[in-house]
Order: sequence, then structure tokens, then C-alpha cells
Amino acid sequence: MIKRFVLTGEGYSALKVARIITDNPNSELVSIFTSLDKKGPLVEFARENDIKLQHSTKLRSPDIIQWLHNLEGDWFINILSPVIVPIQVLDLFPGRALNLHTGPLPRYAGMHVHQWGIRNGETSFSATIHQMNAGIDTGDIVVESYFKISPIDTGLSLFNKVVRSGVELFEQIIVDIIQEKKISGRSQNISNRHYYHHSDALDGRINWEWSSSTIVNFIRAGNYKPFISPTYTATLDGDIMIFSAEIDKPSSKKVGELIELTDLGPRISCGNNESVKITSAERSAQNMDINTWNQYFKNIVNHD
Amino acid sequence: MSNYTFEEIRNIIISFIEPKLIKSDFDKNKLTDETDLLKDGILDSFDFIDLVVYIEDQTNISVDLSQLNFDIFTTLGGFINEVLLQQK
Repeated sequence: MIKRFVLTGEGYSALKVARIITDNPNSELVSIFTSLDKKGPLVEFARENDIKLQHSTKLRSPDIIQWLHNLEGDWFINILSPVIVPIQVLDLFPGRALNLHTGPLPRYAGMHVHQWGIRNGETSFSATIHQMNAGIDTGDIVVESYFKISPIDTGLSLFNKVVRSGVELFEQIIVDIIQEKKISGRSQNISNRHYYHHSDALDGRINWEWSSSTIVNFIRAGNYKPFISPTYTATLDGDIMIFSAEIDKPSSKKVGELIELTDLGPRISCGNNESVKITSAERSAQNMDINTWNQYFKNIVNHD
Repeated sequence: MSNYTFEEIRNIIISFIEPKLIKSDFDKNKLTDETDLLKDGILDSFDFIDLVVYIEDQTNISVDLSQLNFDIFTTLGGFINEVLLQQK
């Protein structure tokens, strides 16, 4: 029996999943919900393949919910759509609505969790596919795939890894669905749940009381260079953007104090009697070098 | 996995950005390896991530963004070279 899928999502990752569905003779992609403002790759794909296309924000409209009901889809799949799918839609797909989440659940529920994985010093992370229910990221876990976080991963590179891993998981799940295998999930231990809000990750100021590893992780988690971070980029005094730093030698100086200026950048003392060396920074989109750093610290001294 | 040449990766990227050149009103004949796909408005950051996934899909090369030289990888030629480096 042909399985009928409804897909909501954005970008080429969602397009990959759309192609997996349409390439299989035993499945059909009956509708795509995506942003029509941006005219991403799913829009063209839907038009080329004569798939019913809807603006993702319309998922909340009673008319569209009725339309979806009449469409008689079997499975609902969400790949990185920013729209929260209303319960009235999920009720049309009991146990058959799946979401790609960019982190391990229940410890990393919410927004931008890959950044938090780096910030919290995790050495491994996961993509998770879970069933969708009335809560946010609370549904049963169907499958997860763990991989290492490298010490040089940034917010950008880890996000890419998570999405790649998640799409690979979906490739298998869609085959399983088509082959009528049972897609079951295990419930989450909600006592281990931590929910990260968008607003939790907007402050880019470095707290020099933090340990050196916390500061270095904070800096790289906010690094989406050359793109703009969806949350914060680490800053010094608000106008110097810091993209990378490394843990340096112990220091007995007061936290936040300049220890020395090296060719790479300034070495600054921090919590735990440690220090970090800033290795990449920009001011007004210009790379900071030893001269501009020198000028910056002179100005601070003069100002004080 | 086959070893791709500079020209082959270039062609894959061109096939991805061709519709965007039209949308961004960028003359295809002016496209060089020094063209900055981001700064010249051909791709935005989401498109760029899509391009990475597209390349991975087309070539089976796994592009690790943490390994890229972010000072040059948004130029057409710089990005091709970074992808070539990662196929080894």
C-alpha cells in the first residue's frame, strides 16, 4: 500500500527527505509546507513535481487543518521548520508525526541546543527523531544517532553535523515506514529534561569569572563565521566580535585583566586562576591584529 | 569515492547557484573564482548551508565546516579548494 507523506521543513535537508519519499514507488509526497517568502529549494521541487504547496505558517489555519484532514496523509514529517505544529494537525497523525531535533533528548530540548552542547563541554552529541505531541520536544524518541563534538567544532559546524546525521536517520525511517515496519518510540524521562529558550542564548558578553574552558567553549559555540549567528557572537565591550580563543597558562592576575599581547592576540586572565588567548577577533568587520589590539588596550587605560 | 577535480566541483556549484544568479541579477559571465558568493548577494547564509548539503549529496564528500578557512571559503574558488582538500 502506498504511504502518503506530508512534509514541513526548510532548506536542502528537507529537500533531501522529500526526494527520498518521491523516489520510492511505494510512497507519495502529498503536500509540502514551507516558507513561501524565501522561495527555498522545496518550493521549486513542489512545483516541478506537482506537489501541493502551502506556506508553513498556514498550518495554524482551521481551513488548512480541514484541508489536511481531507488529504488523508499517513505520516507527517518535520525537518527544521520553525513553525510549531498545532495539536489539531498532530491529531490527524496519531503516533505518525515525526520531528528532527538537533540534540539529545530530554537533556537538550528547545532552541539552538547544539550551541549549548558546545557551551556545556559535551564531547558527543546527537540528532534525535521523535514523535510529536502537544509538548515541545517531549514526544517519544524513535531513534537517535550520536557522534563526537570535535574540540574545533563551532556552532555552525556542529549544526551542520547534526542535520546531516538527522537526514541519514530519516532515510532509514522512511524505508521502514514504507516496508510497514513498526515505528515505535521510547518515552522520555522528563526529570532529565532541560529546555533552552531562544532568549537564553542572546547575551554575547564574556564573563571573565568563568573558567578558561567555559570561555573558549562559549566563544566557539557562538561562532558562525562567515555567517551571522542566530543567537549571539562573543564580544568584548560589545563592539569587538570574538570568534576563537584557546586555553593558556595559569594566571594569578585579576580576572579580565590583560596579561600580555601576543602576535595572535591578547592573553587575558579568567576564573580558576586560568587564562585564555584570543586568536581571532574583528572590530567593524576588520580583523584585529597586534596593532589594533594595542590601540584598544591603550584606550582602555586612558579611559580608566 | 571518486576524486573530483576543480572543474567538476565548480560545475556542481554552478548548477546549484545558477537559479540564484538570475534571482540576484548577477551576470553569469562576470562569475569568477574570486566572486564572493555571500558578499555579492548570490547566496545568503541559509543558501550556503544548503550548498554544503548539496555538494555532500552530489559527491559523497563530507564537508566539515569546522575545518574550513572562513576567510576564503565564501569565494567560489576558495570554496572549491576547501572541498577538494576535504575529499582527501
